[in-house]
Amino acid sequence: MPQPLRALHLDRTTSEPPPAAADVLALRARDGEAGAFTALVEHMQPRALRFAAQMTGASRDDVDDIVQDAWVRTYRALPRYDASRSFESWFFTILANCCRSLRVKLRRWQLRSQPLDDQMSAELIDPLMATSTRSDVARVQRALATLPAMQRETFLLHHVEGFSYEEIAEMTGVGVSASKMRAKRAMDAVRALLTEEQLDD
Amino acid sequence: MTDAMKPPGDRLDAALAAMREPPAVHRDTVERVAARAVLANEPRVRTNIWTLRAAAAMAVVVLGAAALRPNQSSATPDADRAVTTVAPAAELDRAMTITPVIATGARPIVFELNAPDAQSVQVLGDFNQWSRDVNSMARGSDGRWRLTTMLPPGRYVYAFLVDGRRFQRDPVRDAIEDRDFGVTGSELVVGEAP
Repeated sequence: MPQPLRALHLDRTTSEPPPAAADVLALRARDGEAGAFTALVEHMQPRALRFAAQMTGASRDDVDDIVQDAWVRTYRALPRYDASRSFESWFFTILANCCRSLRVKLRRWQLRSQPLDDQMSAELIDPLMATSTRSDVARVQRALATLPAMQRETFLLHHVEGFSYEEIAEMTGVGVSASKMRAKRAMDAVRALLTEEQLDD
Repeated sequence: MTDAMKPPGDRLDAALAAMREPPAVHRDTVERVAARAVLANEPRVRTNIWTLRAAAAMAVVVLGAAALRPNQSSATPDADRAVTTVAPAAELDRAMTITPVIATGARPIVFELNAPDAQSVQVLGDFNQWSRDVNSMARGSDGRWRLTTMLPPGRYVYAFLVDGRRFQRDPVRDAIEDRDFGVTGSELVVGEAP
């Protein structure tokens, strides 16, 4: 039985699309509607680039490759898309896998020591961001870089991407309590570094 | 109060807010990414490491056979002359043309799943573009569902769809590493025909 589709709101003038827009687009793409997959990519691409960049600290080219790989896998698995599950959490499960694959292959995260601004493409950093905030973002990134990958992933999924702990538990395959613990440890580490560096200043 | 004097909590909030700002993405980039994703999954243009290995193995066999031919024929001078004087290039061309057809011949593959309580079971994989209702399995009197289909050599990922709603990997074959979309598939490698 075909699933009911809600009205789409892809008007670029709106600040935030409705939460279910990705689900609707994914269903339409799964059912072969022309242009739906491109609209889905358009809807998710900014968040995908942001997450991959913050998760890996990789160069813009590597970030583009990670996200491209995630879309290849997404398209391949689209016939398996189950409408009972949020597409966003589905897609981020794949994207997180792709980020892990890159880290395993290159071990770049551990090897990098340059400041954030030197690692990430300028295109991924808001040029209007205040210098002090930019410095704090770099500090947060440095703190995250010292954490185990799963703590960093959980921190970003919750505090930046806005996923609930229940969704993260489903995405990562660990329990809700473990997800909360990972995010808390990551947050403690970030706070500690900010406090420490503030004292140094 | 300067930014440096703000409490860490305020600065952290500001940093996280900045990290939540998504980068701008151009429409051309979006279309290129979507097109590459579709093309990468197009069966006719899709190439993976297994097909490349198969092609390399075929090339070794063909070239090896061509290299051995003069040695074998040296014991039989008449045959050697026949090969070298009639049409050696044509012979090699014919071998190169024919060999891939033989080597890429599809092989019968039996899928089997023990699911006595299931009402329906289908096989979905990248060999049928994960389409539903393409490869439905038949239930045997022993409660096991089976399907025999022909697959050319290559590496495939597949899963069973039970009762149209539950995915299950094949317990007798290796699980793939990635849990795309929360579904763990199975890996199937179809070798060359003997």
